[in-house]
Amino acid sequence: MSIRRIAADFPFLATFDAARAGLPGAPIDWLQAARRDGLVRFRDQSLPSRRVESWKYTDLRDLATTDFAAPDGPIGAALRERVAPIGTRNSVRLVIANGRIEPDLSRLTGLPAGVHLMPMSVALDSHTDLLKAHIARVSALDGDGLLALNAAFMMDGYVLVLDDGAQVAPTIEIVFAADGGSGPIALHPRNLIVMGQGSAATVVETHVGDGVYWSNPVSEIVMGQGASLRRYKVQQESAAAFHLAQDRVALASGAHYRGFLGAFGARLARQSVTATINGADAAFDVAGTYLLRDNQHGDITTLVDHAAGGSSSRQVYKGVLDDAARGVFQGKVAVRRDAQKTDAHQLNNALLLSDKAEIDAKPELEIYADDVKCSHGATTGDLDADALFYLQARGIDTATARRLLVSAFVKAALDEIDGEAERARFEVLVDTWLAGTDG
Amino acid sequence: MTVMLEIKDLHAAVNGKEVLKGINLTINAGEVHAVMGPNGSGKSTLSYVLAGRDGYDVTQGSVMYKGADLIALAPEIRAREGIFLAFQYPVEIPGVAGTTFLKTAYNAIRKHRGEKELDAMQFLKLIREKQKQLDMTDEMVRRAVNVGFSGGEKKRYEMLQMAMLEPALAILDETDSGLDIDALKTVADGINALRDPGRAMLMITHYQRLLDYVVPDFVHVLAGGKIVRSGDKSLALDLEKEGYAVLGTAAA
Ligand SMILES: Nc1ncnc2c1ncn2[C@@H]1O[C@H](COP(=O)(O)OP(=O)(O)OP(=O)(O)O)[C@@H](O)[C@H]1O
Ligand SMILES: [Mg+2]
Repeated sequence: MSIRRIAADFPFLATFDAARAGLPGAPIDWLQAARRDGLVRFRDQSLPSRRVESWKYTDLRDLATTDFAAPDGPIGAALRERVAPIGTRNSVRLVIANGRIEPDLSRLTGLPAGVHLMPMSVALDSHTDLLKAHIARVSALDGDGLLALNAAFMMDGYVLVLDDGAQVAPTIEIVFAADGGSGPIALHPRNLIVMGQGSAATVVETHVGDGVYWSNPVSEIVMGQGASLRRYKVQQESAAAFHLAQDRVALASGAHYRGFLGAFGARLARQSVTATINGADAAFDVAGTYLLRDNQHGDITTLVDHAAGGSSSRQVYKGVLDDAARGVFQGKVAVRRDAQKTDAHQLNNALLLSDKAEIDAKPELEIYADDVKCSHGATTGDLDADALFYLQARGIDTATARRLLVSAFVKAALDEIDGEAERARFEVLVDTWLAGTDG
Repeated sequence: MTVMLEIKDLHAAVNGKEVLKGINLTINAGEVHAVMGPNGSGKSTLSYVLAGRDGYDVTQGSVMYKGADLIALAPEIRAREGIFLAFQYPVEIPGVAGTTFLKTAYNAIRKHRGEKELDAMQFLKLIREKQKQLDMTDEMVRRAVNVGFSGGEKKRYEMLQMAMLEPALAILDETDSGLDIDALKTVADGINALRDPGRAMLMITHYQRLLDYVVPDFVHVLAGGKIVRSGDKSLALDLEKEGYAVLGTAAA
């Protein structure tokens, strides 16, 4: 047995045949084949151990020894109540609860012509060719056991398809709610966004839940020429949850991806993002903040692959770690030989509020072109004692002074958000997090 | 006459190094005291000890403020009790809006005094009034605390804060340094406007110039961590002419 994989029993593998009858697309042969194929790969790969370079700082052993069952039934009333107010009254909203679309909480009408939003289970019928191609692409990726497991057990996620030129102005709200209240469950949402030439959309994804569960979403985003996507993600999983998300983004020329991640929840979370820039003048801009306390572990791992010249990328992350929380930032920018005139910027700043908090930051540049502008930086620090004293000397108590300074630190990430309403939303989330500190 | 501040045989260490070596100083309500002295003599250290900065440890002696032990109080409590330190080097705090900062401070102090907190509108009205007297614009007041201010602007912003917070004991650490002639007058007017029988001031300065505008009741010379000479405003004039050499070896 390889030490690069975690040896575990994974009882859910034994129940695969029973479980897949309840998963989307049970009668579809090609999908069943893809699921079986995923299972075979997972049996071979298992979960990566810390001997795998990219998993050096994030340990999945606790996850591997938790006995997760397939989700069974709806989410509880308390969680429903938390989901209900997300977005505005008139938002187009798709709620996926315990791996299935929740029609009562969803509102899929009101989208302009050329914009199609549906759960994966529906898209398998309505957009079969698109889904077939997507699943084949993802299965062919050089991924890890998490990706294979998602292929085997894939559940409802959202599918958003924009025809050429289709633009949707209002924010599309996607909510993932998981309820592990009656025993640990595993969720493997599969999301797909396909954008035609010159199309545009804004999506906010919110992840919430109760109890012990594992959410393992895989998202593929394919952006056509000149397409523009704003994608904001609120990760507020339960304090006992595992959240391991993978995004794969492909950008054609002139496409512009703007992402923001607010990571507040989960006992263990990893957001991995792989972007491939295939066309000139494309821009991939992501930013985020991770605010962690107690024993939370948060990992952000990115790979931006500049495969075409004249493109740009920007990554700005601000992390705040309190108590014994641990943050990981692994950011890699690759610039291929032909990708001249690439402009890539990457920054991770971490603020440690306690002696026991820890950050492991590994920025990496891999540049094969000679005419490029690339910068990366990672800093770690604690609160500025001079600033703290200045505030105290004006009558502001220590806890409030610390909150002001932490909030100022995080603000630099929020400033990256292009959209006032969305920025305000994250500001509220950050303030809520800060109100939970004891100073 | 009520005693505002009574410092007795104060010894204090910074990072384990003794900097203040037996200071005695009594300041009554209504008085303005000027403290002068060579670089490194301990003036800022004294101001930090009074404001309660971490790492500035009193090793001997006592400081009584309004009749109670000051040293036991946390810095924010001292501020709420009416001590204000205008910093020699005001700190830039990126990301914290000046109005948020000052409103938080203002309301913390009001709350401590059992007064009603001001809402955003009331606060803006008040700050507008005060900022005018100090030649500061809305933009400067809204900006992140001290960020991008010139040296002189920082000093004026300290004075704006003082005008807003209306302290009982103001400690001004070289508030006149780096000011042009007009700004010096503006700042001096701001200080004079706050002179009041119920208020005391401790002004640290290197220059006679400020004392022409804000005439002190007493002038002290701090050298080597001790007050080596006290007098009235004429002492400042003598120093201006002769330099600290007149003090002899004690100042070296
Ligand atoms: N953090 C510190 N660590 C070590 N020594 C310090 C520290 N702060 C001050 N000192 C020392 O204490 C002495 C007094 O410094 P202080 O800043 O009080 O002088 P000052 O009288 O205000 O001088 P200036 O006129 O230049 O402002 C100096 O010798 C200084 O080097
Ligand atoms: Mg000084």
